[in-house]
Amino acid sequence: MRATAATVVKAVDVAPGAYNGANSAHKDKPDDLLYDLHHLAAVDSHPVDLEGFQSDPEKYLWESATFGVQGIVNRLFELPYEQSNTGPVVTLPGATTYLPRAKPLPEARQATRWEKFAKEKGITKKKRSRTVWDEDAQEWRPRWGYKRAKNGVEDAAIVEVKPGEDPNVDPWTQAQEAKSARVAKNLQQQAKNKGMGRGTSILAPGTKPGKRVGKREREAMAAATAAGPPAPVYGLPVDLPATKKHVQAPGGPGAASEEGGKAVPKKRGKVAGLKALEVAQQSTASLGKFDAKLAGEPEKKVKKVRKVAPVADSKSLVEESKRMNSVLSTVLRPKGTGPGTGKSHVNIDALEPERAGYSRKKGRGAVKRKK
Amino acid sequence: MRPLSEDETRKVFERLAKYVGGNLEQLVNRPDERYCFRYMDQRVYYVSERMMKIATNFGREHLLSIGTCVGRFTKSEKFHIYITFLDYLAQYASYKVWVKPQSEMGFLYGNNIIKSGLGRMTEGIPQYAGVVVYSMTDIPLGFGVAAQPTDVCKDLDPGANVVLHQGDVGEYLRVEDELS
Repeated sequence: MRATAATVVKAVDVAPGAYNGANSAHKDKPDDLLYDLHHLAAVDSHPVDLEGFQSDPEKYLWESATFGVQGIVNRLFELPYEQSNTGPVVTLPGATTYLPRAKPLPEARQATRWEKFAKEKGITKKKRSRTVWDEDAQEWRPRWGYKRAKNGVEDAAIVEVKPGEDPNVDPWTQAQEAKSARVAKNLQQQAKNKGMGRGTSILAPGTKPGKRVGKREREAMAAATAAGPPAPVYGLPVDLPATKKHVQAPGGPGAASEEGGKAVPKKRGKVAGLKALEVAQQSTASLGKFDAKLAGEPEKKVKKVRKVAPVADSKSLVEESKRMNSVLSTVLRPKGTGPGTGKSHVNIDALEPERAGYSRKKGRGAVKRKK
Repeated sequence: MRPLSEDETRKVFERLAKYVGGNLEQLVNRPDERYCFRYMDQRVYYVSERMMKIATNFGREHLLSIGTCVGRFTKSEKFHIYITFLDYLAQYASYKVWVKPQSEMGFLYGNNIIKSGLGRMTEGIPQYAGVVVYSMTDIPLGFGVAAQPTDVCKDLDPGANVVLHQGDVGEYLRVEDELS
């Protein structure tokens, strides 16, 4: 039977057997628990029956828990539900209990450089008027945009050269360049502020997380991020802490002496620095084998370990004589044999008598049979 | 002191084979006593095994030389035979050249042997073959390389080189400090 929306179904109707069961606690106990169906919670604020608890704590707890769960389930089934392709779906009501904050408060937003400066100087934000007086048109024209006022250098037909300036400079190009520089600088400063974590945060009131970023802004941000990670510093850091070797001056604390009390820097200098670099290069789990190297970083010195053959024991001597003889046979091989001739100087039949007379049927070294 | 690597062995044998040819086998596998080649500080020594085992008792810095010095590896890892090995070369030489008494001194000073100083030579010496030089009284004087094959030498001018000098017994006096 397909139920219409907002049909109320009682748990008693769904599973009457559960209600007729042996748990008498369900029937008699008055149901005055506080329910928060949004959180699927039931709060039992009755005082604990100490006698009952101590007689059988597990049973007592179990009974009270099941009573609470039963109450939740009853109420869930009393809620209006809708049919969906997965079955009856119920929308839980709003929460009645207020839960404390799960996550910490967002950090207070840091002031940008300008904001800090303005605060110190007492500069307040003044809203610019939309219109400006246009001298030529003798009208109030918009500051920017459609039919804007033509007050600047870019709209002037003739620009006078001031006494201290270069007459060969194009003032319009100059103005344009200056403006681009100002805009770029501003974007850089914005990016810098952002990089330093100052200014608007995503959680601050009034910010829109999905704000669209213009091309210039993007370039400025890219420039700010491209500048760092900071370029690798070559050479030795000057502020390497020196391991101080405090030598007590023989004449007491007041006496001056060449060695006494002077710090002997052990870890400075090119030699020590390169040594430290060597150590650092292999201070990883794979001994620095797979580490990406900076440009100009010296290659790790690989010590070639030469296999030391035992010199004088009988086994090695026998092997040695074998080796010598094989080399000898190579050196003294007859002229028509060896690499490049196709013939081997080694008599295979002598080495492998059971395969004597073997010739390949096909492939390299095959003996071509006459048909 | 260590045995030669395969590469080193090959170089030494090839050099020696130029002078002694197939007799090299008699050097490597001696019937009377087993001899071996040992490498020490760029020099190769030919020493009996018994001697070699005794020499293992000495430290590297104390051991100067063992047995007979065959020759030396240069910095570019080429092998040169030294005059100290002349006895063995003379014993097993495949190509021999005898020099006249008046030219002996010239050769012993490090000069090449010219046609007028040549006494006799074995037949069928190929060009640039390794050659052992003897005096007319069959005393080995040194070794060298045949500048020309035997049949060409017959028609040479008296001043032309027949044997190019490589080592002579005069070196014992001349370059005493270089030899070990």
